Amino acid sequence: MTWISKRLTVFWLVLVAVSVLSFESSLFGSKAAGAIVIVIGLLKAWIVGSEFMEIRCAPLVLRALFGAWLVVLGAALLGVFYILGG
Amino acid sequence: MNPATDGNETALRGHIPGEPGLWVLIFGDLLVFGVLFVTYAVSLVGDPDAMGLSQQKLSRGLGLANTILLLTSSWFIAHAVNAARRGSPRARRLILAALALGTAFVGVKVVEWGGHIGHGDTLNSSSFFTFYFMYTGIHLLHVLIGLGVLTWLARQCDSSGAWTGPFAVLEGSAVFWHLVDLLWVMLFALLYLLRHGAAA
Repeated sequence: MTWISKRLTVFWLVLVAVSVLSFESSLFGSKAAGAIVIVIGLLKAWIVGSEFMEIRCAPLVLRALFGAWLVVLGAALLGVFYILGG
Repeated sequence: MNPATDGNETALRGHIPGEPGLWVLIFGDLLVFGVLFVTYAVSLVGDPDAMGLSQQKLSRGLGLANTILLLTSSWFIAHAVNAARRGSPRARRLILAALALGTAFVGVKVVEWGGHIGHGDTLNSSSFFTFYFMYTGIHLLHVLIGLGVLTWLARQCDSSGAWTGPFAVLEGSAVFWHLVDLLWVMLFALLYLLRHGAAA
C-alpha cells in the first residue's frame, strides 16, 4: 500500500484519537475542561491546516497568518471564557 | 513535472497550494468564522444556564461521528492530491471516497436537524439553537459547495481514473475541503463540547 502517506495517516489517527478524548473531557465538568476543549479544538485545527492544507510547506506569509489566526482566536476564546466569564 | 507535483517535502517547500488568490477567500472565511466563534463564546458565558440546557439536547455522538467523517474525507482528498502528483489512476477513486464521506456528513446532519426540529427546537426557540442552526447551516452550505466541487473534480479524471486537469485546481479544491473540515472541528468543540459554569 505504497500510495498511503504514513505522515498523513499518523496525523489523521491523532486527530481521530484527540476527537474521542476531547469528547470525554467535556464530562469532567470542571473549570479546566473548558480550556481543554478550546485548546484541543485549536490543536486539531492547526494539524488540519499544517498537514492537510500543507500550510507547513507554504511561504512564511501564509504560515504567519494561519499561526496568528490560531493564537488570536485562542486568546480571545480563553479570555472570554475565563476573564469575561469569571 | 513541476515542483508542486512530485509530492516530496523538499519540492513542496515554499509552494502555495492552489491559486494564491484562493487564500484570500480562505483567510476571509477564517476571519469571519473567528468572529462567529467569539460571539458565541460571549453568549455562552453571558447566560450559561439557559445555553447549557439547550446545549444538553445536542447529540455529541452524532457530532463526533460527523467529525470523524470529515477528518477521514480530508485524508482521502489529501491522498487524491498525492495520487495526482504521481499521475496515479487512483485519483478518481480517492476523490469519490472523499465525496461519499462528505455526503454521509450531510446525511447525519439532516437526521440531527430533523430530530431537533421534531422536538420543537428550531432557529427561533432559544439563543443556543439560533447559534446552532445558523452556524451549522453556514457550515453546511460550505459542505454542499465542497461536494459540488468534489463531483466536478471526479469528472476531470480520465477513463483510467488519473487526474487530467490543472494541479492548482485540484490542490485549491482540496484546500477548500480541508477548510470545511477545520471549521467543523472548531464548531464541534464549541457547540457540542464546551460547557460553562453551572451548566458544566
